[in-house]
Amino acid sequence: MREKWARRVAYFTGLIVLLLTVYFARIQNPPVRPEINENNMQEKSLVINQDFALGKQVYIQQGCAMCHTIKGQGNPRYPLDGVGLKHTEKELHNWVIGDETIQGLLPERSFKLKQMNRSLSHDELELLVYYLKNL
Amino acid sequence: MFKHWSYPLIAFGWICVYLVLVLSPLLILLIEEVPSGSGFWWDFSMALGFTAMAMMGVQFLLTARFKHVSAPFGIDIIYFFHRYLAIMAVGFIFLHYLIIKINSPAALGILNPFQAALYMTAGRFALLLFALMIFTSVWRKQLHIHYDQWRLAHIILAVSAFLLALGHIDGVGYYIDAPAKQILWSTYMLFWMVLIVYIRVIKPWRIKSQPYRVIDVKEEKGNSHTLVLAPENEQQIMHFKPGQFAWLSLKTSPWNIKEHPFSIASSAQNNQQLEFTVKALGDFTRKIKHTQIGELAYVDGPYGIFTIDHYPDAKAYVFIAGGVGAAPIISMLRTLADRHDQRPLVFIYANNNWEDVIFRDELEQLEKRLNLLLVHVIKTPEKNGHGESGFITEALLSKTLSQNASQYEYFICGPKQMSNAVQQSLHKLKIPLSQIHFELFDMV
Repeated sequence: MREKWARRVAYFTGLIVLLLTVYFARIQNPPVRPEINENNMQEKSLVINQDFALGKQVYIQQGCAMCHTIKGQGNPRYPLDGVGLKHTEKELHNWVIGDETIQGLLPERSFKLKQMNRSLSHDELELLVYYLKNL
Repeated sequence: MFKHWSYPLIAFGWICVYLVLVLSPLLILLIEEVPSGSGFWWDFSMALGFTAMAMMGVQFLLTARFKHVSAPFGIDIIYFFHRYLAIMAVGFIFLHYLIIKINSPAALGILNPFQAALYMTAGRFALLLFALMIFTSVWRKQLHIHYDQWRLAHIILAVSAFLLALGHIDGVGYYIDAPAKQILWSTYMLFWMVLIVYIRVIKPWRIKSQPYRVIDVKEEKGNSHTLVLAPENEQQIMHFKPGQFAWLSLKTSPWNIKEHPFSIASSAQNNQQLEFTVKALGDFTRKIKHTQIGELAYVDGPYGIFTIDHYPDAKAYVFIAGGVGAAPIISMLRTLADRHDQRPLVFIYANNNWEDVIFRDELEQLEKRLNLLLVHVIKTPEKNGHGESGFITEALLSKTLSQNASQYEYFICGPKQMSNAVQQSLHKLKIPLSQIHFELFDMV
């Protein structure tokens, strides 16, 4: 009998934990009516050329998807869709390398991570910024 | 310590404490600014990861053998609980990974450990080590892994996987970027580290400071031996209730994680020495007979709720044992004799053959000192053999027990198959489940 009750309590606590994690995710993401945002919905015709593809490779190589998402691929916490419409190339460059002008706009840990991109060559940085500008 | 009638309330209290400990990371995530959601599946995956880590941390607490935690349940059930919870926690960790793999595979980054971010590699290795722990624990016997080796590996894997998982959480930096959250999360983790140090350093040191000395090694029937221990220093002998058990370390120090649980066979009224009767069944127990008088031994105990002292007002006690399962029973009988307790007792004792009956001669003596009905059940009796033949069946129990049987307290100790069969028989005889007591020991 003790064994049976111990098994039941174990399953019950597991179920409680599972339900509360579902609840947590639910309250973090309440259902919203889809709003038509001109910026988000504007489809920019992407120029699929070699520079764009190379820039994408730099993006992948640097593991940017561990913190960012593009078209649903990657970490959805910091989406980059349409980022090219919101920032100039100079601003994108500053974000990519963790320039002092953006310190305070993001968590300190993320700021330090971005500074690791300073090890990229000039050409690689340009390609990455080009890629982001055309999202 | 606690009155036995309060145990259900205390047990409920500890279950609530467990839920708070496991769910507190989620509460930590919600303090201060609440970050906007990243999608249901992403946040569900992150929440699973955090709570699974908390569940893993609680495993250290469950297996730390804190008497206040184990007293309401019995430490055998705590280990049983630990097994199921650990499997679920690893399942949640795997689910955490699987959701990201399906939902946002690019977020996992490069697989190659030489190129991937260190904290991602730490997370992957933590998952592998946790899975290895479960695999080697559930299938230890089928894999022919020696118990002592398994136990040491289990502890190393647990601590390593836990530390790697902590490194993964810290590296990802998710939900813990605000200073207040960092302090809370660090405090939470510091608690588990302190717990590990207590279990692996402080507690063994305390046990080592109160050693026992082997003063006799007695040969018993049934390929068994009794070790008699006396305290080495001026310390008091360990106080225990009849039927309880302790972890025994021989030929090694308490730090070496080579302790084994055995029932204490001596009378609880005896404050001079402890006795452990051990049957040669495995690698460790086969060496017991070679124990030298004068050797040091270390005892961590007592533990267990399998004792008559939790039911002091019982009208009668019925003991049912098989083989060396008689060890805790003999402790209870010796204690009752020393207390001059004359309430009705029944002891149904099953063995393979008459020569294997441990404590055979002493039981005859105890029949005279107590109001004891002793029934031997011999699987393979000799010609003109003693006692009943075969197994402990429902018919035998019905014949042996009186009409007031439903008012007695029952204590069962023996091989799992026998114990299960006897429990079912007693259930059919309308004995209330709350009056049937047994201990589980074949965890792994």
